[in-house]
Amino acid sequence: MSDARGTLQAIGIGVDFAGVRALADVDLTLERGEILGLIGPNGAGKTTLVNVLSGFQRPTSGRVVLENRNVTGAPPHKLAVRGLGRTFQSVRLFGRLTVLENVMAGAVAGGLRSRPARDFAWDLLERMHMSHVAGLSASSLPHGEERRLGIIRALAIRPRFLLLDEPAAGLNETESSGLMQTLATLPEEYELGLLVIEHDMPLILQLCHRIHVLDYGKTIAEGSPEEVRKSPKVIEAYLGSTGATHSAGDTDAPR
Amino acid sequence: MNTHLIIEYTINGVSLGSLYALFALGIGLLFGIMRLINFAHGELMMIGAYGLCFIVSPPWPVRVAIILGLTIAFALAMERLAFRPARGADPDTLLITSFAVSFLLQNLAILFFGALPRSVAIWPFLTRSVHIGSYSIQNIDLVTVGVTVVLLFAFGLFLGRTRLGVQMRAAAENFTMARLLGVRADTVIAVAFAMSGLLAGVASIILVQQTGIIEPTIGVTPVLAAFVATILGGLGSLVGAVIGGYFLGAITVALQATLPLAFRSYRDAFVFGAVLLVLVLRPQGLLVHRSTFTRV
Amino acid sequence: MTEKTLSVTSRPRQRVEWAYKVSSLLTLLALVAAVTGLASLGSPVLQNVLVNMLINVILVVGLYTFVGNTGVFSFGHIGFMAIGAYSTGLLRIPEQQKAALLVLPRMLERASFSSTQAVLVGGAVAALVAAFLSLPLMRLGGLTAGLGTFAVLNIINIVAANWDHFTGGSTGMAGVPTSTTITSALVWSVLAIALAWGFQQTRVCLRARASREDEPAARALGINVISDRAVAFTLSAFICGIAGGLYGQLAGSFGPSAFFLPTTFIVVAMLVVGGRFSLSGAVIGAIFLATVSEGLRRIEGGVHVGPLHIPARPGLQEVGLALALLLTLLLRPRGLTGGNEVSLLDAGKLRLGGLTGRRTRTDAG
Repeated sequence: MSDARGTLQAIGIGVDFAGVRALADVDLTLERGEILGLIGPNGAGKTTLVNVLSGFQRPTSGRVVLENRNVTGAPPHKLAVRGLGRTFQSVRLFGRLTVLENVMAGAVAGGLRSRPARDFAWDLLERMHMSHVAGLSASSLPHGEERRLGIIRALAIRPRFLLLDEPAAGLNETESSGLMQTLATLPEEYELGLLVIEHDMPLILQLCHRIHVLDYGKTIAEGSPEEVRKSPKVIEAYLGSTGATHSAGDTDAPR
Repeated sequence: MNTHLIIEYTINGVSLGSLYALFALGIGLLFGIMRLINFAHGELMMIGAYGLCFIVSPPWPVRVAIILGLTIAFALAMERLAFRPARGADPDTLLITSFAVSFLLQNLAILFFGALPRSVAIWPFLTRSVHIGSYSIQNIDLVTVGVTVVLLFAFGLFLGRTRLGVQMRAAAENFTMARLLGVRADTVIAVAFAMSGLLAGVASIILVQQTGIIEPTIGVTPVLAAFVATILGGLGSLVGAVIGGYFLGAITVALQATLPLAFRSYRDAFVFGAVLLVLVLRPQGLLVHRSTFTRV
Repeated sequence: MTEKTLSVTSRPRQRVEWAYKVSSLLTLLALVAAVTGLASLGSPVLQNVLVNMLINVILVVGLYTFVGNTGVFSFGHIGFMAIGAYSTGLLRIPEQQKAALLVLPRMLERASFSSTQAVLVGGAVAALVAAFLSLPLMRLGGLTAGLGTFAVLNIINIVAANWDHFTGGSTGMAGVPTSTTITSALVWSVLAIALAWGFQQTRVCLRARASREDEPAARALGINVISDRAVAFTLSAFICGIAGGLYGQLAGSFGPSAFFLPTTFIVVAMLVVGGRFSLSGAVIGAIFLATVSEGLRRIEGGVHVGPLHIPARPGLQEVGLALALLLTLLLRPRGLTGGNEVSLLDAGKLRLGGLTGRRTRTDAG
């Protein structure tokens, strides 16, 4: 499955910010058709890694390889054109454009002409059950729908790899599980590789085929949900040396 | 080109650069703290200039004090009347507001003083020169550089050592955080405006003494030079503004010296063109400042 | 303020969406035509004000094409007006006069174009210069770009004032045939508005507006922010260049001072007062401020208001405009139109198969 369709790889990625080591020697591979969870305590470097992969952050060392092509240091829009999409922690919608226009912007950026882009945007909105708000301005959406729109917009560029930065942040239980259900269908339906940064452990364990764990900028575990759940390093990273209890329902790792 | 000429040009460059640095600092201060690019800074200078024109009887030190008081007062009034109500608006709205204030003041001057240029008596001391060996330096240049250096030093001390100065730097770094920590927005902003008023006053006196002419549009070219200098140095950096000013002075004098005679009158166009060229290579300016990075 | 729902619950027919968009264009054109029709019945003075207003409409529409769609403010567009005016002048001034006033290459000296051709060439030259300038300028971030465009205004001003051979230097050009009439100005303004409206339907414009809203997000979609902005910049310069060509053939003679700060201010004020986030704002702002300005000009000449006599005071017009702009910025920064497109469909609150109502706080069309 993997080699024929290419992968997104981070190889030996290191990022230094004025003396602070945000990432150190991180290797990560994302394959099309799979869901990879990227987890770790706050400040572990998850968003930084996504920024590196998507071109928003130049790594101090290491390479980013997209479908066998070295794209380290390439600007974000070039990576997006090559099939790498992402969402943002703070969503970053096009506030004064309508919901439809937000998605159309993605479709158009992905190379579609006006009319096909509009049709495709409607398709996506209908499939994601957001077509009833198509005419509203994006800034007027409630929080849950905001985040969904961010994902739909990223899907509109027809990416082969999609990186989601905390797509469920601020969502309640129902919204969260609804979102995860949707996400679960994406890789197969759209033939993409999905990377999800999340804090909600149960959802991650349920959703992902593989999990990659960062702590203090380093990879501390990588593998199937089962393996990661039992990994002593992961448990220590989340519980700390105090051994404070961490129930499965917590959405934020204690620090 | 012989050394004599080079030294003379260098002196000119440093003098001009100092003046530009003063202009640029006035702009950079307000931008740093409130993301405001004040077109009307030029009109503060205009006010100082007209003050110089009409207040002739007192002795020089008193005149200078009055003019500085005038520009500082106008700067504070500007803040209170035009910019405080607009506080929190997006940077473009602030920019256009300052453009409107600038235009308003220019035309009020035309209304009251007429559009024609007036001449001003120059302090004779400034036209004389100091002779060192075979070189002569005009006193006006010495005063320009001297005053600039003193002011920069004073500002550096103020921003670095005094409590208010540290508060201002904090506000420039992150206004919201600074306020949460107890820095009073009104105070910091008022002081910033007062400082830029002071800079405008000093710059206006020097400018008028250099040219001897006053007109309502006297502030337009300096403000443009200030913009260009701040772009060069990188918006958001006070040090950048000063360095940009000196850099601009250097480019200007270099072009003045090297341009063929036929192109001399286009000198400023070439200067701005050169700056645009620099920006192609380094869009963020010579000194990059953290505040201009977008966190993603 | 609660968001009034645009009750689009299902995909509307293509025709319906188009109807809404076209209606805003037609509304604007109707407005311009109506104002023109009324004013053209007035005195010669009023007619002159009318032609100037129409030229200003083109200028503001041109400025809006860049500022409204990219979110980057420009103080330099009057420089493109200048380029248009001077280019048109070079192609329209009769040969003998050209030879007497200017020093031109043979081909240029002999050149004689029709009014329409000259205006188009004026726009084209302005567009070329803009395309060239967009290389350095469009990389600059929001505020810096505004300052950069201010520098461009000055550069063009310096060149115009010093390139004696081509521009007549600070005295300027004279002898341009005054071919601009109410009709021709109306036609060109209709074309300009239609062009700006048409641009808003393109993909380039959608991308530009997206990057206006959030640059990093736009980049993450694959949008090349710089090149899209450059297109908007070039088109907007074309429109301003056309306005310049028309102006040159209205005034007959002009110098560099006609294309500097006062004109820049008026155009900026018109755009902002009308509302810089919509095409309707541009057009309405131009018409509104032209009216206010004319009113002020009459007061400037000295007026009796009851027992009060306001004596003649030149400069009052500009002060009044500046105050109008400041008031707008402080009280209603989004301008008269508030960022919405104006459409007759709204006025009647017509319902068309589910597509209804005013879309508040969005762009339309």
